[in-house]
Order: sequence, then structure tokens, then C-alpha cells
Amino acid sequence: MARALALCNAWVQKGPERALWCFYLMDFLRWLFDSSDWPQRWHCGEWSALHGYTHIAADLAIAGAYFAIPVALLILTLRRGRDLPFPGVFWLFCAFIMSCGLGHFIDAMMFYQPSYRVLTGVKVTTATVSWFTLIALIPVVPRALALPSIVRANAQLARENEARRAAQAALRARNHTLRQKSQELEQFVHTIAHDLKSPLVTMGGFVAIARAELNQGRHENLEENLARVERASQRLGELTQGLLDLARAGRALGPHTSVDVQALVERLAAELRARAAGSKLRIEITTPLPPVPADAGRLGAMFENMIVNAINHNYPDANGEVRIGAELHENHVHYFVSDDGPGIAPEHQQRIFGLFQRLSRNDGSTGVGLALVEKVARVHGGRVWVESTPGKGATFWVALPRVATEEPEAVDIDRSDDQPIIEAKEAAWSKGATLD
Amino acid sequence: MVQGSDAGLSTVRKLSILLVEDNPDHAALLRITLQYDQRVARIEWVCEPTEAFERLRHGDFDLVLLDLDLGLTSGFDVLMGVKADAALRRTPVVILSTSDAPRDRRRAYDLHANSYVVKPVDGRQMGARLADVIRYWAVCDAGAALRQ
Repeated sequence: MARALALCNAWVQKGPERALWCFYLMDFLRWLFDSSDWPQRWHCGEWSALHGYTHIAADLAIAGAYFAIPVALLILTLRRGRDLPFPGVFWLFCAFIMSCGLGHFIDAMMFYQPSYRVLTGVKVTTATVSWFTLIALIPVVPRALALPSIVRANAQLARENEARRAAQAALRARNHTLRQKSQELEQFVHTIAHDLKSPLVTMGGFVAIARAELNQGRHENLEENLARVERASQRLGELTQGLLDLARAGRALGPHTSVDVQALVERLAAELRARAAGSKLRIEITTPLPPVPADAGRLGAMFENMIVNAINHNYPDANGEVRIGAELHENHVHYFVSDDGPGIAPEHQQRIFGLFQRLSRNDGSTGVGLALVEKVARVHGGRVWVESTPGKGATFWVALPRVATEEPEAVDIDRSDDQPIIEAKEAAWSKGATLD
Repeated sequence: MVQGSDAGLSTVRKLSILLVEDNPDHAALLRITLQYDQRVARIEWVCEPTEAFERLRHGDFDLVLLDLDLGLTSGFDVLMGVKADAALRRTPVVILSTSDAPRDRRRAYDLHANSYVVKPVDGRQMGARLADVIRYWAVCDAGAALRQ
């Protein structure tokens, strides 16, 4: 305080005109705060104590609230770390509400200190600031209203979150599929390498034996050794052809046409009957076979492999029968080919559709046929499974959609429509159409 | 063929071998390759895993040569069965496989295979490789091959 006085004193000492200004200012302030022209408000009219004090208290409460509002706004805004929206208007608003508060405060003071000139000054200030605030508000209000409300912003955020979560889930699923595909591919290459090597080992081995025996001048086993080499090379050829067929079955499909399955299977059956002429095996079509939209060539290869598989697995020389039929379901046609062979144990039913998986090495098959059946079904948006009781034959099923699917590999087939499929859950599913 | 000179043949135990192999050509190849090996007393050949267990329980074998690819039943199942059976698990099981995939080898050793031998495509190597296997179990680790 003393320091401030000293500063004032120093300022005044700098020139006589400054002292004069000081004098005018003091005089003005004295005049401004002078209340001698008016009575205290208590004595202006008939105030009851209750009325008067209520009036004073209300004015003070209003003033308090008016001072508190800008402070609270400022603190809240700063604490949330947000930039002030429309800072100019914000500060104007603060000034406006503060001067309103000041007006009410001085109004309350009028009961004791009737400085009506100060009150007038404050009111003029309030009026000015109010009008400036109003003018500043006019361009801002539409923009402020355009700010999304918290509720709407939250809803939007929730929607975006949901979308993001869905995208993440889709990505995870895609990732999973890719990993699965990569594992399948690895398994595929492993299987091919392993199974193609087997005949090569036979060929290399028996050529070496034949050479060693020839060097010893022995010829008695030559015929047999060469026969083994020949058979192995034939087998290698069959495996290679099977792989090519399988690759072809998985390539882009031709246009889907409504394939007359009845005619197709009748033709195949006649061909295969002729090939199996002399054996007691019968090939019967037990129910009408409804048409289905498919690539005709692929479908032919699929049915051929199913029927050949059934022929190969019937007991030789028995009165075996291959039965071919179909069931019509709401969204799918289920075709079946059954045989009277030894059947497949439950633990093998899932693996049977895998490449090169055979029940035994001596059943005359390459292990490609059922893998091809599974692949053709899969690229048509369908699936395969087998029902079998060991010793009582096996029934191979193929379900194909009655309406062609756009992107068969990606389509999750609705499994709820066809009750028998649900029942068949316990039966083996091909690896391409697992339930999860 | 490699003939061991590290031990007099009279002191070498002759091995009774069970060959579990479902490819008849491979079985014939292995048997022909081993037929003149003096360390081999006999080779019995079975195709089926169930048959293999049957023979192992009743026969008296010093060594099992096991193919991994036995149709739908994997040779691993046979290996697992043998090593889980207190009466059989000390019989050495040598895997013979066309696969040289690390994961097959890992899995075989995880299931306590005693050795893993890849069937060579080059026929001239087959004899040498099999002779080495037989020599190892008949001479180098004859103790392991002792019947319990």
C-alpha cells in the first residue's frame, strides 16, 4: 500500500498538470459516490423489515449467482481441456452477466448508501455491454445451434463404435479364414509331396534291385521287379491326373444352368454299368433326381466320382447295389449315393473327404475322388457328408442350393431350413463346410 | 551293402523285426533289401494297425519298422499305442516314412519314436540306410533290443 502511494506520489511529482488531473479525478469520484442528494432506500417509502430484507437478500443472491456463472463456466470449460467455442461472445457474455450482478449488488447497497450516480453508471455499462453481446450473438447463434448436442454426438459415437467393432470382427473372421486356408494349403502341399514320393520310392528301389540282380547275372525276378516299377509309374500318373482334375474342379465355374440331373446320372450309370459289365453289381436310381442350378461339367464329374467311389467300395462279387437318389428340401436338394460296402467307422468319416485319404491302400482308388466331390459341392455353395454304420454300407450326401449363390465360397448357408441337415450334424461334415 | 566289421557276427544278436507297412510294394522292397542281412533273423510283415498290435503282443520282436501312412489310420496311432503299452514300449520303434517334413519328425519323437528314417527315392541309398538301421539296433545298441 505504501509502495502504491509512493508510486502515485512519484507520478504526481512529474508535473503540475498531473496533480491537477489527480485533483479532477478525486473530485469526480467524490461527486460520483456522493449520496447526499438522496435518502437511504429504507427511508424512501414505507418498507417493512421483512420486505426490505427480502429485497436486499434477493438482490445479493442474484448478484452472487451472476458473479458465479461466468466463473463456473470458465472453470468447467478449462477443466475439460476443451477450447472455448466462440471465445469473443464468451467473454462478452461474462462481462454482461458480471455487470448485471454488479447492478443488483449496488441496488442492494441503496438501502444504506444511496449512490444513485454509481448505480446509473453501472446500468449504463450493463446496457451497453448487453447490446454489444446481443449484436455479437446474432451471427453466432445459428452456428452454435449447429453444434451437435451431446446426446446426438454420443449416439453418433456409439454408432461409429459399433461399426468399428463390426469391422474388427469381420477382419478377425477374415484373418481366421485366411489362416485356415493357409493351413489347408500347407496340408495340401505336404500331402501331395508325401503321396507322390511313395511311388517314386518304389520305382527307385526296384530299379536298384533289378540292377543289382542283373549285375549278379540273375534274371528270375526281373519281370516282377519291372511290373512293380510299371505299376508305381501308373499310380504316379493317376495321382497327377487326379490332382489336375481336382485343380480344375476348384477353378472358376462356368455359367450356372439348370442341370437335368436325372438325365446326367442316367447317362453316367449306363456308362459305368457297361464298364462294370460281368460283375453282379447293380446301379439303381431309386428316386427322381430334381434339376439344380450348377456348372454342368463340374456336376457330371462330381456324380461320376461319387458313383465310382460307391462301385469301388462295394464288396467284390457280392450282390452289391449302388443306389442313387435325392430328397427335396426347402432351400437345398440333397443327393445321395449309397453302397453296400464295408462302411466307414465314425472316427474316419470326417477324414474321408480329405485329399489322398483312403480306407486302405488296396481299394483301387487314388484318394482324389471324394476330395473332388467335396470341392465341387463347396464351390457351388453346397456341402458333403457321409452316413455310415461299419459293415452296413455308406451313404454319401451332397446338398446343393436350389437357387444359385453369387459367391459360393463366402456364403454361409442357412442351415436352419433343412431339418435333416441339423440331424446330420453328428455325421461328418467335410472340412470345407464345418459348422462353426 | 554295408557289412559291419566292428563285432564278430557270432556275438551279434539277430533281430526279429515287425514291419508295419500297408504299401505292398514298399513292404516287398524292404524285405528284399534286408533278406541277405545276416543280422536279421526274420521279418514279419503286417498291413493293419490292429494286426500289428496282435503280433506285437504274441510275437517276440526286437525292432518295429513302422510306416507313417497307413491309409486312414496313421502310423502315429500305432506308435502311440505301442509306447502307451507297458509291455511293448521298450521295443524300439523306427519310423520309416516318405515324409521328411519337420513336423512329422517332431511328432514322431514327441510320441517317443526311437528313430526316424526317411525312405530314400534313390534306390541305391535304400540298402545302405536300412543296413545302418539294422546295424545300429543289432550292434551299437544291442542292449536296447534285448527282449524284456
